[in-house]
Amino acid sequence: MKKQFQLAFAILGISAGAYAMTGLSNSLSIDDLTVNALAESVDMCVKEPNKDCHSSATGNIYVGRALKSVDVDEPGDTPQP
Amino acid sequence: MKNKTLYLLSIFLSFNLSCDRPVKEHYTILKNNEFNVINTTKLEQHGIKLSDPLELLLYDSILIASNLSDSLLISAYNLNTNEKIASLIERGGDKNQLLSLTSLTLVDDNTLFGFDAILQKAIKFDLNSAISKSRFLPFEEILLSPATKGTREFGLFNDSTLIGTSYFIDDSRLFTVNNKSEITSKIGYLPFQIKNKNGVGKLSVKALFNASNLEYNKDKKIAFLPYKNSERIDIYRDTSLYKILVGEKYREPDFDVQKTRAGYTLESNKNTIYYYVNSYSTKNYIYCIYSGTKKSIGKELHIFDWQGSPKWKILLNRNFASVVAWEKEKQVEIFLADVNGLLYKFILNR
Repeated sequence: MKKQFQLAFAILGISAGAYAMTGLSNSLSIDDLTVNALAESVDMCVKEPNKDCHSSATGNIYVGRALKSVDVDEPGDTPQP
Repeated sequence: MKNKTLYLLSIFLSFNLSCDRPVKEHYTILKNNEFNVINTTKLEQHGIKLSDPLELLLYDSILIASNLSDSLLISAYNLNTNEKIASLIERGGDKNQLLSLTSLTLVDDNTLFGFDAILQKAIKFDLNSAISKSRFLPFEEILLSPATKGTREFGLFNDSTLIGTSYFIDDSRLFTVNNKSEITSKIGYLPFQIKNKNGVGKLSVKALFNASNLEYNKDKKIAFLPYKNSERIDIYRDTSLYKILVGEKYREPDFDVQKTRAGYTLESNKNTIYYYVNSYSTKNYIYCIYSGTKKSIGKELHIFDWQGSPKWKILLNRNFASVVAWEKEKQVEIFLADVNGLLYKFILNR
């Protein structure tokens, strides 16, 4: 009975550990990121409301912009006369 | 034996307590008949054209708009006279310059709080003085530390603490930071997991995948988070997840993960749908532009109270990109900007 109890706890511990490790592997270190805060180069990001683009050149998040290839599929609204 | 058991039990409990995902989520389904639906046949064009609007703020009859491209970052308009009354803040990275104002909040009758997502800098300044003198001089600046990189937007948690969402922090939904730029707490969790294993890379694509707007009410201590690419709204009260609102056809975001020079990023595919593309809040209500299409602009305005109860659904006759509102005793003046910056007005009788 004692052995069964120990075994059950060991299995629980291992499975909990595996789950925690899975979560950890998805967490990315921000130290890896290169952000030049003063860079104004927008690279492949083009203006588009409510979309945010991550510039691969500068590492910056450009708010209100989208990747160029996306922009082609989604033309803006036409102004009313 | 007893010690061993206790040891194993403590390891098991510590793993479980450290996991911030709940076992099961409880949803409140948003049904169309719970809204008071208003179908607008005509909207009044207001006469103001905004230049590449990014973030809007309305108080009384003054509209403050930050923009994406002008040499001066924000403009103030008098909506009674349709006049531009001031343009402020030089674009740049030097002292008293900014690049991208993504949050605008009125702290009190005279103090404006703003956050620059590129410079990762929060500022406070005297609004009336800045408008009357056409001069921007912040009296408080917080330059964020590397620990808070990628902050998307901020609200005021209290007088000395900010609450924000980030594109880089993927182990919580929200975080708070003090005026020394130290993270003081991490709150909640990002609900959607990226199944594509290519998503692991230098850029935290999980946080991009879970992109949401943020409206924070510091008096009620409620954070309202309408998701951009899923018909879902998370509501946190104090620091706990209080309610999850979902649409009847609720599903997770759908993006392609692409490798770039800097790591990984997300790109829209044929199944990518936009939902709550823009939001604005007042002391009583949250106003969300709803798309439900592949466009990041929408033809519906969904209005909720801070408890997450649906109030009005306004069906608009054209697509809009951003919304602001000013609540009066019996009416709400709602202003909507289209993709060209043209401003339209709608009066909602409360």
